[in-house]
Amino acid sequence: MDAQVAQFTAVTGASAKDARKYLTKYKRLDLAVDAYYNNPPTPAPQASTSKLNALFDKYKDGDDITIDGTIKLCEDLDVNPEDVVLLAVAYELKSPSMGQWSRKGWVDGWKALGVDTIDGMKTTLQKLREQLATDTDYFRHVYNYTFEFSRPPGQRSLGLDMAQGFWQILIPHGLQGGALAHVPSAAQDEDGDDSMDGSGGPEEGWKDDYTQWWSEFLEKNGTKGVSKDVWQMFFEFVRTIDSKFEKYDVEAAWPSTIDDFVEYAKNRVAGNA
Amino acid sequence: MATAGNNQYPMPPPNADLATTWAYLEEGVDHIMTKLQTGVSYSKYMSLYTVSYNYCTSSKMHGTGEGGAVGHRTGANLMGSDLYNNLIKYFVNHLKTLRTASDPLQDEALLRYYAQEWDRYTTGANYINRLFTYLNRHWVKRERDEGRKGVYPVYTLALVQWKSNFFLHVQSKHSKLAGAILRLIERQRNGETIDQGLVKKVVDSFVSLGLDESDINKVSYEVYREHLETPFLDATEKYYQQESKAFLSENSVADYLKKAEERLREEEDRVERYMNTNTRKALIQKCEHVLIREHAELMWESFQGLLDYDKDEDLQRMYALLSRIPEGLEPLRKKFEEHVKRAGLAAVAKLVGEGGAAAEVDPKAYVDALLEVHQKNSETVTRSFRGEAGFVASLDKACREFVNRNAATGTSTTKSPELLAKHADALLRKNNKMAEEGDLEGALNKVMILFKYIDDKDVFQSFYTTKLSKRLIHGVSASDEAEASMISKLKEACGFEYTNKLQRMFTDMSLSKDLTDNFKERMQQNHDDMDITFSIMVLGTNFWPLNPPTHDFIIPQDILPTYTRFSQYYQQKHSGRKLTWLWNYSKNELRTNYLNQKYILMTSSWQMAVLLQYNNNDTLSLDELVTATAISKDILKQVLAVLVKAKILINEEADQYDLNPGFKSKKIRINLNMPIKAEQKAESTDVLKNVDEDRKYVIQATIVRIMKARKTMKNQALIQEVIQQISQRFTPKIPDIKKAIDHLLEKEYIERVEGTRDTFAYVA
Repeated sequence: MDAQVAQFTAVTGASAKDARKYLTKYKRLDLAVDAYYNNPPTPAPQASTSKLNALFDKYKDGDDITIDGTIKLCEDLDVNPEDVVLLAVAYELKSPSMGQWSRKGWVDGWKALGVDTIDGMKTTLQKLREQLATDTDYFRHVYNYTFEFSRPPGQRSLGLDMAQGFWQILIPHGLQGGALAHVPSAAQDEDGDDSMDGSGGPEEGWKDDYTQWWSEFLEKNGTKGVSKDVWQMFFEFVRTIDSKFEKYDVEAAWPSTIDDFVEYAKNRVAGNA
Repeated sequence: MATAGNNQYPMPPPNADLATTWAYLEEGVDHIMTKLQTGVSYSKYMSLYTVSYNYCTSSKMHGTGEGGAVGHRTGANLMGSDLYNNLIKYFVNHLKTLRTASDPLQDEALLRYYAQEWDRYTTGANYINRLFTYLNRHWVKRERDEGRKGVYPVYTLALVQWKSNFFLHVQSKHSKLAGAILRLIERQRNGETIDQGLVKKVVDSFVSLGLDESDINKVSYEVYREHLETPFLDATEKYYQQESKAFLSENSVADYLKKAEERLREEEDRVERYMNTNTRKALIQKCEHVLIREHAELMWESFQGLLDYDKDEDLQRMYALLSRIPEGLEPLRKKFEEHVKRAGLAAVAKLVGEGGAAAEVDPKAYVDALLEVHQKNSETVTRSFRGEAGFVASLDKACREFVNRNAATGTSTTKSPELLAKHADALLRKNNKMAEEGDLEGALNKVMILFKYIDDKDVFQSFYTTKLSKRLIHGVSASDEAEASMISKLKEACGFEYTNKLQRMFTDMSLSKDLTDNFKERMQQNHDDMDITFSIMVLGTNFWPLNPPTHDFIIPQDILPTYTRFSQYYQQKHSGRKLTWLWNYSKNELRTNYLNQKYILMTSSWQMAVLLQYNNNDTLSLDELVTATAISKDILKQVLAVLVKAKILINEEADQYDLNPGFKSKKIRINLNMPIKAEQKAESTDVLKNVDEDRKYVIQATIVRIMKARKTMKNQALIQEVIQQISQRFTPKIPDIKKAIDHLLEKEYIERVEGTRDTFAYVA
C-alpha cells in the first residue's frame, strides 16, 4: 500500500491522503490514477469560523446546542431527527452525547467538512449519507462512535432499546450501500477454494431480517445492556457470517452472546426451511 | 611310515634347488595334512621348518621358471613365490580328493564327512602355517604390502582354497551342505533329536570361511550369511507360516499363544546352541513376524473373550507376545479401556435397576460398585499386563469416564462427587461399623482411589465441607485421628488450598472447647449461678458452610441470661467481632417436671422454644406460639407436627396444641431432634449453587492471573490455559470461560487488541 501511495503521489502530485483514498477505493494503482484524473478531489472550500459561530449561537441553549436546538437544526436541514446521517454528523462534530453539540466540535467539524451555511450542510449531509452506506471503514468509525456518544455517562453498557434503535437504522443502511457487504470467512480466503463449495454463486451473508432476529433474541434472553465488546464485535459478525450461520466458528473469540445467538438463529433457519 | 618318509627323501642341503626342496617339503606337508594322528617327530618338524627357511633365504638364482602364478622375481621374492605356488598346487590336489570322496554323500553322512575333514584340514593347516612362518613374515607380508590382495598367509590360503575347491563345489549342488543343515534343523523342530555338535561344527566353518579382503584379521560373515543365514531365515519363515496356520485351524487361540511362546523360546535356544549369535536378531524378528504379527488380528479379536472369562494366564501370554511387535498392544489397550468402561457402566446400571428407576442411590452401594470394577481391573493390569503404563492409562481413562458419567449420575457431573462425599461422611461417623473393625483407614484409602477420578473435585469439596461441619457440630465424628487422616489425604491429592477450610474448622472446634471452659470458669468466679449447662462453638463465617436462621427468633426467658452473659463475655474478649447465633444448628436438653417419670427431651432450638411455653400454659394456639417464638408459621407447623407425633403435645382441634399430661415412653432420653424435610432437601441444591458461584470466580480469577502474567494472549490459547490450570479442581465449560471473558472485557480488566478479533490484552 505504501509503495502504491508513493507511486500515486509521484504520478499525480496529489497528497498522500488523497492517494490513499483513491487507492482504497479502487485497489489497483492504474484504476486509481484514472479515477483521480477523471474525478479529481474537490479542494475543501474554506469555511468561515465566524459564520459557523453565528450559526452555533442560533441553535445553542446555554453553552452547547441541546435537544431543542438539535430539533430546530434538523428542521432547517430538512432531516428527520432519527435519520441515520445524524450519527455520521455526530461522529464528524464529536458530539459528546445524544442531541448535544459543543461549540468546538461544531466549528472544527463543519470546517473540516468545508461548509458554513445551512445549504452547504444539506449537500454535505447527502455526501455523508452516501459515504456511510458505501465505505466500510467510515461505517466502522461511525458505528463505534455511536456506542461511545450514546452511552449514558458512567455506564459501561448501552441500554438494549437504544442499541436496538441504532442497529435498526445503521445495519440496513450499511447493507444496502455495501459498507457491510459480506466478507467470506478467512479460512476460505487463505485456501482460495471458495469455488469448491459447489453452490456456484458467491456466498450469501447477513440478511435484513436477521437484524430483527438479533433484537428479538436479545429481548428473549433478558439482555438489559449491550457491552462495548458485543457492540463492536457485532459489526464484525454481521460482515462475516454466512446466511445459514454454518461457517460460524464457536472456538473463535466471539462474545458468548453471539455464540448463543448463532444457536438461536440456526434453529430459526432450520425451522423456516 | 614316518621313518619311511625320511628314508625316501633325505633332507636337502641349504642350497638345494626347488625340485629337491619342494619334494622334501611336500612329503612333510602331506603327512601333516593327512595323517597327523600318526605323529610328527620334533626333529622332522624342525628339519621341515629349516628347509623352508633355507630355501627362502638362499639368494642364488634358480631360474627354473616354475613359479607360474606369481611371476618371476629375483632373490627372496622369487624363492617365496616358488613355495607359495607349490603350496597352492598341493591344496588344490588335496581338496580334489576330498571332493571326490564327498560327491556320493548326502545329508547327515555328508555333514559328518565334511566336519571330520574340516577338523583334520584346519588342524593340519595350522601346523603348515607355522612351518612356513618365514614365508608368511617376509614374502607374503611384502606382497600384501605392495597391494597384492590375492596373496594370503598360509593358513588363510588354506581356507581360501577350501572354500573355492571344496566348499563351493559341494554348495553348488543345490546347496547340498546348507540344505543338509536346514533339513536337520527342521527335523529338530519336528521334535527329533539331532547331533547339535555336528551342526555347530559345520555352521562354525561357514563363519571361518568368511574373509574380509581388506583386513584378513577381521571376521566376515559374508559366507555365513549368503550360504546359511538367508536360507535358514527363509526356511524358518516358511516352516512357521505353515505350522501356525495348521495349528490355528485345529486349536484355540489360547493354545496357540502357548505354542508361539514355546517356539520363540526354542528359537532363542537354537541360536544359543549352534547358530551364530549375529543371527539372533534377524531370526527372532522373523519369528515374531510370522508367529505374532501375522496372527495379531486374531489375537486382538479373541482378547475380549479372555477378558470376559478372566483368563489371566492367557492374557499374560498374549500381552507378552504382542508386546514384542511394534503397535501390538495398542488395540489391546483400547479394547481394555472399553471393557473397563462397560463393566463400570454395567455395575452402576445394575445398581440403579435394583433400586428402581430414578430412586436415590445408596452412596455406599454406589461407591462399592465402582470400587469393585476398579479393583478387579487394576489387578488384571498388574497381573496380566505387568502394570504397563499404557494399560494403566487405559484403566484410568475408563474409570474417569464411568466414575463421572453413568446411569446414576445421568447428565449431572455433580452426582458422583456428591455420593462419594456422602459415603466418606458415613464412614467417618460414629455409628459406622467400619471404624470399630479398624478398617476405616482402608476404606478411606478406597475413597481416595475414586476421588482421583472425580472431575468436579470442587463439588466433592463443598459436600465434604458441609458434611464435616455437621459431624463436628453434632459431635458425631468417629475419631479426630480418622478425620485428620482423611484431610491429609485430600491435601496430598489437591494441595493446601483445597483443605485449608477443613483445617480451619478443626481449629475452631478446639478453640471453642477452650472458650467454653474459660467461660464456665469465669461464671463460677462471678458466682453467676448456672443452672443451665452451656457449651458454645464459635465458628468462622468464612470457613463454615452454615447459614443463619431465615426468620426471627425470640430467645426464651429461661436461656436469655446465659445468652446475655456469654455475649458480654465474648465481646469483652474479642471486641469488634460480630456473633451471629445459629439457633437452627443448636441442640438442647430439657428435663420434664410435669410427669411422674422424669424424662430428658433432646430437642432443637425451635422445639425447645415451643416446649418452654408450656411451663406457663397447658394449651396454646398456633398463633399464640408464633407470637411467643417468632418462628414462621410454616416451620412452626412442622416443628409442632414432630412434637405431636411424639405425643408430647396433643393436637385435637385445628391449630390448638395441648400439653399431653399422660405422656409415657419406654426410654428416659427421648430424641425429638429430627431434621425437617424442607431443610434436608435444600442442602444439596444450596451446595451446588455455591459451587456454581465459586466456579465463576475461580474462572475469572484464573483468567486475570494468566493475562497479568502473559499481557496479551490469543483467545484459543487463553481458553486452553484456563482449562489446564483449573482442570485439577473441575472441568470448566468453554461457554463459562467465554462468559468470564465477556465479563472481564466489560469490567475492563482485559481488552481486545486494536485491529484483532481474537487477541486479548491485560489492562493494568
